[in-house]
Amino acid sequence: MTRRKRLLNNDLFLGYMFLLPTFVCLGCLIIFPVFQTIKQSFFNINFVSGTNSFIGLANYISIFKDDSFVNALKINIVWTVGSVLCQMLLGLLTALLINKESKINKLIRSILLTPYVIPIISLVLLFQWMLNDTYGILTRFLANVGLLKDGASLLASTATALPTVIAVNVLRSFPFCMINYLGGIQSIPQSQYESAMIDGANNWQKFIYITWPSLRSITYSLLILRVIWEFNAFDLVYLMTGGGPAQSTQHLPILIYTEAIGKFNFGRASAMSIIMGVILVVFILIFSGLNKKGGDR
Amino acid sequence: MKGIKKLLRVIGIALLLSIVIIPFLWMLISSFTPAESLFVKNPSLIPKNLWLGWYKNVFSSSNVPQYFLNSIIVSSTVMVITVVVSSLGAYSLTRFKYKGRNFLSHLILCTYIFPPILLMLPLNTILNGLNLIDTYLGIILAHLTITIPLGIWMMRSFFEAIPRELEEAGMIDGLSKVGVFRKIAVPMSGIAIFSIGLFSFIQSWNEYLYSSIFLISVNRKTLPIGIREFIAHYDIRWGEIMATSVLISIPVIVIFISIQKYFIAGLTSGALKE
Repeated sequence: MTRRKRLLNNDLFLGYMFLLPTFVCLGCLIIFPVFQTIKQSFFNINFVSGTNSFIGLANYISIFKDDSFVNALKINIVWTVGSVLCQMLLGLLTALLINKESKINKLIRSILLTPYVIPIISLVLLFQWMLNDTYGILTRFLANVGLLKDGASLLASTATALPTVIAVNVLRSFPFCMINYLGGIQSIPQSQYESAMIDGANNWQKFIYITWPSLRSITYSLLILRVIWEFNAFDLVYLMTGGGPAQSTQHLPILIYTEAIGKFNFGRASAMSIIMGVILVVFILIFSGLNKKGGDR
Repeated sequence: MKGIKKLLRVIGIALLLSIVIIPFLWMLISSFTPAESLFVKNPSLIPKNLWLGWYKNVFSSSNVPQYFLNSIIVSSTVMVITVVVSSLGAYSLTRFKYKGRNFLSHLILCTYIFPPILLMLPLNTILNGLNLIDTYLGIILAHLTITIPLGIWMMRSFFEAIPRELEEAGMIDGLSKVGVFRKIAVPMSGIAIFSIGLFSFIQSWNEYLYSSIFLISVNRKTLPIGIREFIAHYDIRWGEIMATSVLISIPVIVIFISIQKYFIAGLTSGALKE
């Protein structure tokens, strides 16, 4: 065998060669930047005043003393919990409603998936238009039904802004949960339901004893996936409210964004995003620990 | 009893469908309604005729055509690079055996959890240092941080689905391992590769945060950034905005309908396999 031919059949050589482009891309554009962020979080960096000095943990200490950070963290948690619970529940319900394989259900599925594929900016502008205080059809509708005072707007009040944004987010993301639950439901062997029928089980019992147990692992991975995603989500809230009114929707990503892009405090913004990452990792570790314990029972 | 259940099911489905359909229908209707019947207190939900004024404005007196071109250039390049890089990477992680493979595949999965908001600052520094702010190449590199980890993740499950026997038969016929990849694995998963490409096209087409920071001039801005030019403080041009929203969504919906089966397979591969 020639040397060249041997190399073309060597797993070690080929494995690394095939992975090389990936590592050039991800190494330079993700892994290196992450280390860069960690480093920056210990510095006082401000591009406007031109400062760049090592200050140890001072960024972290000042952040934890900062009320607006604590507030943003609270809003972030409400946003994440609200969005994830509602979208998974709605996704599961929808999947149960349309799980039968038929032409019409396939059509319904693709229609329900549209909010998940269209650009967030279109969805946001559409809802801002529908919630416009004078011409918005949704505002008119709610006013006519009597749920909303004349001249009021859901996005302009501190009490309703966050729930409204969460609702729009649920509309966008529930199809993802629906599709995953559908996959899970369809992989349950039909024979299990047949034998349950013979035993005289009703629909609720079938759900509790057959469907739900088979969906547990999907629920687990969906939960982790969606929590990571929503905890970090920036676009929808920022575009919809910009953090307002009166900071009532200013969650962590928006706070970091304003700290960095608005005030140019790169060091502080880096420290905040590191804290965010740590919170997520701690959550994942605790949650997977709990899940293992639950699984052993 | 059975009748009631069926009725409840139909009502539930109808409710869901209307919640999803009515907003999009309203977007479409608004974009074809002239100002005098759009900006009224109780606008009619049924359009009287197709009025194309907003679209004419968008095409003749705004930068949207240029943004459309920019978006197409950026998204198609991201698509091609993602397909090449992630199919090579995913094949390496599924079919070659070497030391450290497990570690590497975990590392790649980990990159998936770093949010754009964390990467935004260092990427800004890097692109600034390379003079790539406000260039196509700069924004393409930024988009790759989103598309490649997901591309590899999805690609892996498609490669794993190819029967090993086929590849072994190819080896017996005298193909090298690279030959097996080129002549068996890639053609076998052609449609899957194609759909991952379109998936990354959609992601890049929709991306907002990076584009809003790294793109500055009219000649480089992509559509999601450009559409915001219709929003000035006291003058929000809703008609043009709705027309442009329809225009942005059309390519995505066309792609989605054409690759739906693989799109769904891709979406579920993430959560089902772990």
